[in-house]
Amino acid sequence: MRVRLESVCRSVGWLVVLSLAGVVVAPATAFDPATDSDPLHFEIVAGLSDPEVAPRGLSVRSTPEQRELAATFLVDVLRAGGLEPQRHRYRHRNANPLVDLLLPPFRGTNVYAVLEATEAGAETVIVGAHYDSEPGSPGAGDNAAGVALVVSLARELQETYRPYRYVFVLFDQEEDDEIGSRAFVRYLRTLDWTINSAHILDVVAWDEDGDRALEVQISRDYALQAVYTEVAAQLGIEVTFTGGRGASDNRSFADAGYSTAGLWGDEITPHMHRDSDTWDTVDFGLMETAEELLFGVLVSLPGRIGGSAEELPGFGAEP
Amino acid sequence: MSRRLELVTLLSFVPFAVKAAGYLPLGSFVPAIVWLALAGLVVSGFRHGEPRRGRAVRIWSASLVLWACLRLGLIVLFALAPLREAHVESQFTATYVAWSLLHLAAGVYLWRSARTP
Repeated sequence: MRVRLESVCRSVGWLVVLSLAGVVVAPATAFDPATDSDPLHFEIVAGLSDPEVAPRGLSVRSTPEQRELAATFLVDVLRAGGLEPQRHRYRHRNANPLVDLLLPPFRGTNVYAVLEATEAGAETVIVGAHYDSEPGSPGAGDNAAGVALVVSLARELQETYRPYRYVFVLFDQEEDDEIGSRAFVRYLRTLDWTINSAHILDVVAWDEDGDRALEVQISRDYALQAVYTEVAAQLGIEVTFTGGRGASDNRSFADAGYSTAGLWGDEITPHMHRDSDTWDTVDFGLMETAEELLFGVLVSLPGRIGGSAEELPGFGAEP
Repeated sequence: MSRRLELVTLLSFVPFAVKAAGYLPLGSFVPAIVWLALAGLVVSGFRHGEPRRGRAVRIWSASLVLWACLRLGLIVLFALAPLREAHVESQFTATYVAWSLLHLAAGVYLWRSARTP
């Protein structure tokens, strides 16, 4: 019995020594978004999707109460960044008019902040992302990540010369037929603003092959595509272009006839619309790439939008 | 036709008038069109007297019952089928059920009363 005990103790001792050696020698490969990424990105992504990280009790953002909590959180975040957030409360009819007979209209709140141009009389550029999520899903990738990028871009552009008036808007109810952005487009039409272009972020979250590639959906604007192409080339970012009416809130702006770009990762996260869409599945590096690209585009827009396809070699075909 | 029946008929029209008016600024005209059609039918029935009055009230009461059953049916549909619509699901509250049942009861009452000479 004594021999067996000694043998066991010796084995355990070796195991402890080897484990300690492993800890000391092995490189720290685990990605810690709390320390490795932009702290603001993490604060917003986790703050919107994980009640254990942020004490707001926020995770799923689908019921009216949950979305109201999220809107309050976002107002606070924007205000903390020195911006003056506004709530755009709206009501919107149901997608099918017959449903209007049975149910009340959609109600929601878009949160937005305006950064006036450095010089008066400038056109307006919209930068947006939706903050609601599917029922049952924390929506960290879809789309707390997009929200974090919009807020982060707003803070960045505060510090620079602004050739345009920038409107940073966080849409409600994208998961319900993009109702929030449609209501916001309707609101925009009541303002005396000339819209230059709209840039919508959604699901910038998943990059399994690690190529940091993004997809940009351009709605019939060759000049806008040229700006994205040029900036991406300068930054060495791989971008794939697609066309069409839009697959997210960009559809609302494209349908209204605005020059529109939808920006997301070129891979769809397998966690989308699931309860597993938590912040630890979000690729914060991809978010930083998207922010870099969009910031570059937003400050490169002057004098480019409005050019015709003929003026831009290589952009003769509809994207 | 009793005063109570007339009162219930009138009161049952009010929520739909409010709904129709609320949808007009949102660019949805279906609730207003349907309400105007049914209200016109009932008003016309009341002006012409029996038997058109009774028939008009029965059509209105059947519409009420159908409306309430469709609303309650939505709850069953969403419970049984794997549907996820946050806007629709968020409606399914105790108030929603009570409101549907109230209209169902009003519809049944009007139907039965309109058949009684």
